[in-house]
Amino acid sequence: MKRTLLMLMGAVLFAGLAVAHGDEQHVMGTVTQVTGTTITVEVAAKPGDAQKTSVTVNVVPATKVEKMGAAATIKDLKVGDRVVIHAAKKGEKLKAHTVKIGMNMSGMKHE
Amino acid sequence: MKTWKLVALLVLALIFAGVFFCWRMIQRGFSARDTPSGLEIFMATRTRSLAVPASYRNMKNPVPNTPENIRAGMEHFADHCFLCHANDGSANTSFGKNMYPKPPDMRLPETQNKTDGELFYTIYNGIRLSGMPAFGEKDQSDADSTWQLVRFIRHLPSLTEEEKLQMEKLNPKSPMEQREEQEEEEFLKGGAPPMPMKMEHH
Repeated sequence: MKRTLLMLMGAVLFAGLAVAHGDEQHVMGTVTQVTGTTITVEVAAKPGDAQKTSVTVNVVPATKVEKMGAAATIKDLKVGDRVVIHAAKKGEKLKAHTVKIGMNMSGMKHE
Repeated sequence: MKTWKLVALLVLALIFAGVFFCWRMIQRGFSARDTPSGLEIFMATRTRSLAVPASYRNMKNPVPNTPENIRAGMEHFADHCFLCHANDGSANTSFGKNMYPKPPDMRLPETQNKTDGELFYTIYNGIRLSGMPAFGEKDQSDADSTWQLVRFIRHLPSLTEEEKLQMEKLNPKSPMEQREEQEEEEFLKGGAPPMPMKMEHH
């Protein structure tokens, strides 16, 4: 029962920023790590909420990257950048098909 | 063997083939998730190819191959065709993947090897027993825009990432998708994350 309640709470907290769309998820947050094949995002909490979750999304050659409306590459992605990732769930993993890069929030006190 | 016996055998064979075909159809069901069999694909593509009148097959695209015409075709495609064919012509959309028969990957020779006239005829008349409707006006008053689409289909194999992004902005969106996109844009510009809400896409 306790476990179910915790899972339910987690799902509610996570719901706003990692929204499920059938087999697609939208991950919105700030980049904490980028490798050649993965992006780790600290999923932004909803306004006034201190709770944050880390999500890792896999990048594949077909992943489209966009910065300020123009085509970009994964190399343009920096730690601290805000991102919106549209990803498909493949088993336990998320596979990005679109990565939109926004403002870099490094050094900013509030997001 | 006497002629009547041959005819009777032929009729029996046809009846048997018909019964077998119906039995197979019932066994397979009518789900659009299936992929057509090799025989079905061969029969359909051959019949379709033969059904295009020579007068159309030999037509040349009267619309010049200019960036403006390709752009016009691209805008038209992004607005009318992307739902089944995807912006890049791959048919990798929820509609395209779940149709019977599946739309082809238009970047491949299967489509690119067709003549301009065959492509025009297909867009104009549609394809019976498929998800492809007849898009052309009966009086062909919109023929130029169909020919621009043909120009764009020829351009699909070399479509750039920049063009794909431009097309995404031209794709029709539901009010929910518009709101969601606006929230994402505001978030990327430093705005507050959106409030949790339940959203489901199909």
